[in-house]
Amino acid sequence: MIRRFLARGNSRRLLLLAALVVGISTFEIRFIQPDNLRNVLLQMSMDGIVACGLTLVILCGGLDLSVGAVTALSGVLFVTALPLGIGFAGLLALLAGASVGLLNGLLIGKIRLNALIVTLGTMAVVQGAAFWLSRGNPIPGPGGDFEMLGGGSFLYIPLPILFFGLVALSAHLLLQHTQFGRDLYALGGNREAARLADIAVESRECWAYILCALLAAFSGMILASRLNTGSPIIGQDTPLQAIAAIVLGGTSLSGGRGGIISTVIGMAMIAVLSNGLNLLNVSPAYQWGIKGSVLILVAGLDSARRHSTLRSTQPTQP
Amino acid sequence: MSKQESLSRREWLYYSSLLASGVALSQTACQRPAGTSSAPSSSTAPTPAPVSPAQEIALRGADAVLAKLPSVLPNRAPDNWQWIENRPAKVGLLMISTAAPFLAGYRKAFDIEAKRLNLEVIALDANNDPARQAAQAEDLIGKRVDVLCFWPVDAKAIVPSVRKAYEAGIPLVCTNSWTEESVLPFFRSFIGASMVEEGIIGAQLMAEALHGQGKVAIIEGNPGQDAAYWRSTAFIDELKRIAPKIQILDRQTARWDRARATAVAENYLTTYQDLNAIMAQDDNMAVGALQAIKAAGRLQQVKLISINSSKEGLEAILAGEMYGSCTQSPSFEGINTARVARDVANGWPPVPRWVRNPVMRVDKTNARQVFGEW
Repeated sequence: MIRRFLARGNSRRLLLLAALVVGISTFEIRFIQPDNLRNVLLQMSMDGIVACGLTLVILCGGLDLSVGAVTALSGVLFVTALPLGIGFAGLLALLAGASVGLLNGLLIGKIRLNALIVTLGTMAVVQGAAFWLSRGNPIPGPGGDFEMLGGGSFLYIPLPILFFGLVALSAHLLLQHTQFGRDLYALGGNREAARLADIAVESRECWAYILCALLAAFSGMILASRLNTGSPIIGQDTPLQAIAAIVLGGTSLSGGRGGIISTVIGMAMIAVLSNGLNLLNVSPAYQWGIKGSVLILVAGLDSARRHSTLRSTQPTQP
Repeated sequence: MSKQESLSRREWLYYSSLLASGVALSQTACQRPAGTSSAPSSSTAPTPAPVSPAQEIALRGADAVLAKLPSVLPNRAPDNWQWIENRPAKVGLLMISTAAPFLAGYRKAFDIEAKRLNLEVIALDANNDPARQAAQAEDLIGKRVDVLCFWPVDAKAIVPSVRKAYEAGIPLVCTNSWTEESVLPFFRSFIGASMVEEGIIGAQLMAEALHGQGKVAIIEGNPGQDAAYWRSTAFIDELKRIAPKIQILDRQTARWDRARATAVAENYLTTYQDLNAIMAQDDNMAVGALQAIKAAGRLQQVKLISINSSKEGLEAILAGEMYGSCTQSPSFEGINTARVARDVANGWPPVPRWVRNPVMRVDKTNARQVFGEW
């Protein structure tokens, strides 16, 4: 377990993360104070939950751009339906998310449309639905207990962090210790081979999209509670953040390689970077550039390393 | 497999040395300013030739000269004196975005004034995303800034962040747009214009331009932002009161963005063939809408009303392409936010509850006198 956790790529990234943390805290000691670390964890939780779901989709060779719109729709729906009872509202939001996932899954898995195009389309449709439902305006929540989901804490740990931990853990177990998870890897590695190995390719792919959208909807509910508002403009850069985290973590966008731990580490790198740059008072203009360069640098180093190892192993094979 | 997967010894060495050199570098970088500042004062002591005070000021700065003069005032104020000092302070500024020209003008004025007032500014850009702004508020609370200035993306979504900052004991200032009423008492001061006043002036201009009857469409700013909400609400209410025959056909958001405003205006112009006027909620969007109106060749039929005067907006008014707007100076808000932040950080009583940005009606008769800031 520990060996797998410290798989080559992951340990390299953990070192990079440690270097980031040490580097930032030498300049700004407040960075490593418990309060701020809690902030970092809290801020990565919402996008992190989305990224965990997206990892499933990307592992099986797909892509889902509609996650951001799903967070917006579920947040708006959650707040709008609150008068009918919080449980019902939550269920409705999750259901909406799941149905978007089902639609994605059917179009991509069964009809074999391109994932990028399909989810780009559903993103627009879902975003439109969120705008239609809210008439373009943010909907205020009732406050009070409603804010507990995103603002409450348990043993000094904010609830979103706990949710994120739970989601990450169960997604990790799902991927590593169930047939479903192994099938996803197989599917991402080689779709035709997976089909020949009697894996129900379509249903596996479909479920991956459903789980992804469900988690996005859950994240939207937490966000709505955290802001006490159902806002239709929320989550517009969530898909990009999540994909960046997944790539930073070392999961391959072509599928079949990577995992939840990598995604969590990637998410942590992004969260540490943005919190740290804010604390260090780096101008927003530079922040974009720095984050983008780090992404390209890490991905580039990775690719260079992979090529070099490939080349060095080739001659030994007969 | 395990040999492949685990990190080789060479790599461990490489990364740890990278880490160590990084730490060492950052340490030296941190220490350098402290070392250099104390060194030169002792080494530049020998100055043989006598120089006149004027020359000395030119050479070494006024402070060094004044320090040598016998002081008229005692160094320490008597105990019964009240005095104020301008301590350096850390000021956090949460902005909605930096992508609009109004915001750039604001930011420039704020930065210049803050530098003059010895403030260290940490300005963050939420890029119009309420969730990101909440995260940034947490960052600045964690940083323990001395004053935190809010420019909320969404009047309601910012409420939990404001409450959190207030509970952390950080003095708060609100700027440009109000938050929801329930947390307004937490702010020491608000620096900005009355959005209601602007909406009312817009309605008066509109009633004049259309002679009391016609069909109007509105291009709005960020949904949920106080500025957009009140500019629309006050505009519509006032129009209902003074010109009940004017009909509001549509209101859509362009999020303070010129390109989006052009697109929205194009839609209006094709959908409503009998459109008489467009009201844009700021000049940036108005200029975008103007392009659409010009392209459609309906400059004569469709009047344009805007809010807060930019250079381009004023030119359009003088050219007769736009009917009118009103002033809202970004530098007034930027400068006064920095000043109020300084006052709050130093505990100088009393800070005004509302530093009100004057709003003045602008039309063809006085557009030449108004100074376009952005």
